[in-house]
Amino acid sequence: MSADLAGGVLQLVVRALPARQAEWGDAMRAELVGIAGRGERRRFAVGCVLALLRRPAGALAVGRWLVCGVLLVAAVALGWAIGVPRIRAEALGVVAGLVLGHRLLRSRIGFGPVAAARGARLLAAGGILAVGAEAMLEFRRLRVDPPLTLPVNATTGVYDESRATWNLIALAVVLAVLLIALTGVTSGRVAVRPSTIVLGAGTAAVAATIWLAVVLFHPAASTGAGPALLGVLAAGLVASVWAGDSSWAPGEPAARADARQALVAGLLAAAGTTTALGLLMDLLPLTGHWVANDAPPGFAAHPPTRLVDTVVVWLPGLVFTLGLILTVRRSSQAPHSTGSTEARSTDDHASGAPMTTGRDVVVARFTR
Amino acid sequence: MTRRPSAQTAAVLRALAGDRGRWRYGYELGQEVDLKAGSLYPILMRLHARGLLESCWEAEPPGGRPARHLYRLTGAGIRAAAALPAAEPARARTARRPVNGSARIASRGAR
Repeated sequence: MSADLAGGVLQLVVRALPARQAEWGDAMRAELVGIAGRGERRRFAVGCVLALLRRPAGALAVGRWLVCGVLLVAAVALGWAIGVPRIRAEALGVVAGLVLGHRLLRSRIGFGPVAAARGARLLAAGGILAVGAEAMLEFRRLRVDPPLTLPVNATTGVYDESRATWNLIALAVVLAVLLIALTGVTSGRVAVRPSTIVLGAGTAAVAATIWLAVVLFHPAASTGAGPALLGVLAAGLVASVWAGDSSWAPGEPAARADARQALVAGLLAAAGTTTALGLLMDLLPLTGHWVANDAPPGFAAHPPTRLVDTVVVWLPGLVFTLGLILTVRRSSQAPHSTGSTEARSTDDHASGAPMTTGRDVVVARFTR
Repeated sequence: MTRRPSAQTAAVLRALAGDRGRWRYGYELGQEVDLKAGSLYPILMRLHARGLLESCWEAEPPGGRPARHLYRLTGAGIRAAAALPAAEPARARTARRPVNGSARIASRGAR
């Protein structure tokens, strides 16, 4: 690895770091400029990259960027593989729109960067993974090459471009709403406590795992939307009750903030569970033994044994996610919310380096 | 500091305690205690997080060079260094370059 390449890698890693961690990265970059000799510069830069990646925040941040990069390449490749030029262009347009929208949401005019708390960063990475996976699954269904899937007209047997377009519009709406909720909940500027995020997302993960275990190991269990939605509601209720403060008293600011955290935890658990179940229900038909209820007749290559209600699960998920966005938006506007203070102080603790102003100084020097 | 520091951490503490008032920069410190950046910076980050180290950005870097991040021990850091067992013989090398004394002190680590 050449010295300049090592310096470039260091710069990329530093850019991926949360602001407080990045100050150490800026310190390393400033040192690198003053080091003479290619070999010495290379050794120093490699050591710095390793030092940053050894920190949990650094590994998470870089991992999140890697996940995003791999997903983007895979989504573009699958979109490119769609045989109909108009649908291919629309699919790639959806990818570009989502990427741009996500960047805007993470900018100063949107919700801002991810909070430094580990739970928020994990949820942000997991959410991006879910959004990318769903986009790829849909693109796969829109291909012309065998197996012909969703957009086939049942009577004529030809590719239905209009239906494919509507599928892409629905996909774009669902994923955009998911991205807005995800960036809002995990933002450092929003008054969602780290413990609320961990509780909501953790409950969703447990609920989805239980559903998967039940339908995989008990073939008689129903895979329809009814039991799945009951599970979603149960997850939301459990998270909400768990997060609620027993000393809740209407009218008191702190208690109101606690009630809002309970609401966010419940909505996050419900929205997270529907997203996870929707993804699983889209993934299971890939095995050949399951089929989505909106697939055209004769779609499955092998006789399917189970039916999954993907659409019926995604729709209420959209409602929960919209509710989450509204709640988070109000939280970010609450000027005296106790959650905001707690989130900030936890972030400071998690970063381990309460330095803020210095980064602005050195960034200004680098960008001159 | 509740745990006994590693030999490397102790070397960094001793190097910083050797000239308490002076602000030091990472590369210089690494040269002095013979530590690579991959080992030195995690130590500096830990010491800073524990309030043993304070930091600031160099105020007037010469000749267009970016400002360096500078470090020195806090009161707690000086006490921790003083509590270390006697130093092992001569691992340290002489520092190559002094740091500009006009550094702007932001001293956040000590707070």
